[in-house]
Amino acid sequence: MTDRYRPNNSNNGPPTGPKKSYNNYQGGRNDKHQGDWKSKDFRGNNRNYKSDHYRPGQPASNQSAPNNQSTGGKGYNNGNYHNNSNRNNKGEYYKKDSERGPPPAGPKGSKRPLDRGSYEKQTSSYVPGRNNTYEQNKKPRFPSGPGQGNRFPTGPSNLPKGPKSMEKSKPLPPRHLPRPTKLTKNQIYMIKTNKPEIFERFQQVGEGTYGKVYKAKNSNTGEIVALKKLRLESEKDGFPITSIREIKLLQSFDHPNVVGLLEMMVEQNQIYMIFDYMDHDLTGLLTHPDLKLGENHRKFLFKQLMEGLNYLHLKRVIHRDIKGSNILVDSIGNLKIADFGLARTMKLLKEGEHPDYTNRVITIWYRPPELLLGSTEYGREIDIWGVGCLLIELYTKQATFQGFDEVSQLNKIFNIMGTPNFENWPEISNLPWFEMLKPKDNKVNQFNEFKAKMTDDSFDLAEKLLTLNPRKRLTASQALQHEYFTNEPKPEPLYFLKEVKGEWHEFETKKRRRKERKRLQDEKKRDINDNIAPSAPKPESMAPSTSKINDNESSVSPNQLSISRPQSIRQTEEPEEAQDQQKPDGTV
Amino acid sequence: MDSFEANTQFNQLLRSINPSVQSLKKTAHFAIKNWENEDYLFPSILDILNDIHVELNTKSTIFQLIDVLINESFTISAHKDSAYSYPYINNLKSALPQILLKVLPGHNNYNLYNVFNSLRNISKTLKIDTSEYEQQWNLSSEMLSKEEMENIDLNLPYPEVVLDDASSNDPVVQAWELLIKKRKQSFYDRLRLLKHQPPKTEDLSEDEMFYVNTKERAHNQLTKKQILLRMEDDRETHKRSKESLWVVERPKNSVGVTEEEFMGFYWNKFDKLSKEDEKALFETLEGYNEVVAGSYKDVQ
Repeated sequence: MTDRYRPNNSNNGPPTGPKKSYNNYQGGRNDKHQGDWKSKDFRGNNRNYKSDHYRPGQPASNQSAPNNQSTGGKGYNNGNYHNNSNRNNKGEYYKKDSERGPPPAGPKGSKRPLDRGSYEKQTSSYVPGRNNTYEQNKKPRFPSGPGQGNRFPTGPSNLPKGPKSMEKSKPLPPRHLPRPTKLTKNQIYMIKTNKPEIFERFQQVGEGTYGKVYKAKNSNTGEIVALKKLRLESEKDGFPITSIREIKLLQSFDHPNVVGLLEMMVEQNQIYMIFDYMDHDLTGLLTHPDLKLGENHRKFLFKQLMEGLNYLHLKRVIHRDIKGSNILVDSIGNLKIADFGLARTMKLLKEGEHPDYTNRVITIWYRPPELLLGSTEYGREIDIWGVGCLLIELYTKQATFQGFDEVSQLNKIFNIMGTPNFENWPEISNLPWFEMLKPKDNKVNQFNEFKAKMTDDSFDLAEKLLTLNPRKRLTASQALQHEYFTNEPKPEPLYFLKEVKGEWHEFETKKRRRKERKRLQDEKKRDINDNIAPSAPKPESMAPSTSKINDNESSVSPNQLSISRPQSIRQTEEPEEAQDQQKPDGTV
Repeated sequence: MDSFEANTQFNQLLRSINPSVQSLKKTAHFAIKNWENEDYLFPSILDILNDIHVELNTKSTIFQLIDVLINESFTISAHKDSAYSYPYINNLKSALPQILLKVLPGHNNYNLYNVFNSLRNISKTLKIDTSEYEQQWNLSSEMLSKEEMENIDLNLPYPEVVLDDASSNDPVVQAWELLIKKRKQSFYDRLRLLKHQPPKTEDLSEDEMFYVNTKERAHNQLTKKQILLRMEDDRETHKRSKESLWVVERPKNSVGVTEEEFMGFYWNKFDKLSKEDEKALFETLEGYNEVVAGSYKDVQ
């Protein structure tokens, strides 16, 4: 069974390495502790496992174990899994706990919750540290100073202790003293419950190749959250590697303009990611027929978008799927960047090395020209193009470049931004598909047409964000210095959004459109029938085409009806991009 | 398998070839297995390149096949117990310049980038230093001579790139020279267009912008569908090319702690290192170096 967790080690048996130091280390891993843990967690039946896990003094629905990890895998990566030598003053206590606990799932053990049957009707959720602040995150990650370290050959006495909260805890009392019966709130990071459902689902608010998103309420706390259900049915190779990458990235974020992962939950053989719920997304909101954004509101939204993106870019993360439906907005216009299913951290490169990423990223309307021309050596600039498109969208309420495929997308871009020339983009001829899509004619820049629809500052900023040459495109931090954000009117929250009826996500907008399209089609059919039989009385239910749709399904303009937004891209990622994972061939 | 049968099967493989690694290797291995029929199989490769009905995408794939075939033939024959004696290499190498011009016909340089990549691989396999040409490839702005720049001003077309029969250079070097000329040609054509074509203000259709979509395509030009297919193929090839990057053959007695764990252990520490610990660290590191060195297929 250990194969799942330690495939490199599974068939090697006892350590055979010639080095003394290594033997010592290896020896530590095979001691009694691990044996117990193995037999209880992998070979023992589920009932034993559950009862082992139960902690006296804990409420029945809140069993917890400090040395356990759920899907996050932080503890595993930090070496917590091997932390079997805690035989110091803290050691005994932890050892007992970890013996009781379930396996540290993490990336390698993430198949565990999928075992059919054993987890039926169980719910467990992982709560990553929510109290961290951005400032705290800036501190060195491994702050262990002199004296805290330990020696490799003699066995680790102070290996990373799992969650950060545990590191701060006071030394535990000796064994003869009564043990603390209850953990403090911030020590709980895994909760198992037999309740059938903790989150009460209201409605579906999103759908993609990854799965579905629901709005839900935590029945214990009353908190409204978004549940992202991962689609695992089609997974032949287990838990998708792209989801692991997404979770790992989300765990590392802490910024007001980037969506935060509240918990991971396993329920009824399904895995959920739990996020703060946001009422709207940018695409959905902009389709609201009565929405009137002021310049101050647009600035408020766009500044947050740039700040969120700047945060990601400073952390060397490229989002790779910037588009309106991935930008979430709450009821006063607070904005968060979401969906990191395609995101990745940038490689560290020596001089002369090339990044070599896939160019099959970003939904086509927001894809920059260098990707359309096959670039595999790109960087943060590809996200900047997308936010440039969104800035214009805040004014025009529709996507600027709406192509159907790579060829038509590039044609739309060149028609508006002008064909590139040798002066503004000399390196374009080095792009893989340039010879295939080399402009055979010259087109002048027509971007000035947007000047009438925008303000001078926003137009200037958009033009700089949408520079064809990625090297000349503004960076996120440069964009934040732009006068657009400092000139009057100053950014201001969208308090009026509270008055907006309903919630506006792209998903619902699409649904409304489908409904409206169907209604129009039905009407057309009826009209035809009426013409065939003019004497037949008109059915009462037939509403005129201009009739208002009730409640929040307000009428949609014909212009909006014609827009069919392209789907996100989800794909098999390059295995080397996640070589620390077990499955290089993971798929979504 | 007699020569006729081998040739028929090989032709079928060539006609149905696609740029996936499996398809390329399958075809290459078939050719190597039937090395005795090289005199029949090799001309088949040239035939398909000469066929004007074969689209440029396929011709680009055939060039990739040549890259794979040379590489496989070389690797298999280099094995100490191998019964093969570098089949196809001589024939392909000598025909390389003429093959290159078939894949990059006239002023249609769609395959330029792929040919560059394959030719680089071939040169590497044949251990020919072509860094000078690779440098020239990247210096597009400086690659045109003064005379050529004047010709652009005069709006003169770039002369047709033809094979120099008198050249006594190695065929691979000749191929590189042709490739650089092709690159120049493409660059020249673009500068000429930028200079002499008056910029349009009205919207251009896809066909006007990229010369795609016309049903009645002159041969050697790509339709939109072919361009999109090529993009998808290139992405797939790019993805597959990375799938084997992580593959190493670990010796049987490899250590059980992964490199990641090993690094993690030290990365998380900040401590004074005693001499004993230091010794242990370096011993363990040395053990790893041995394992890693032994992992590579070719001896380090």
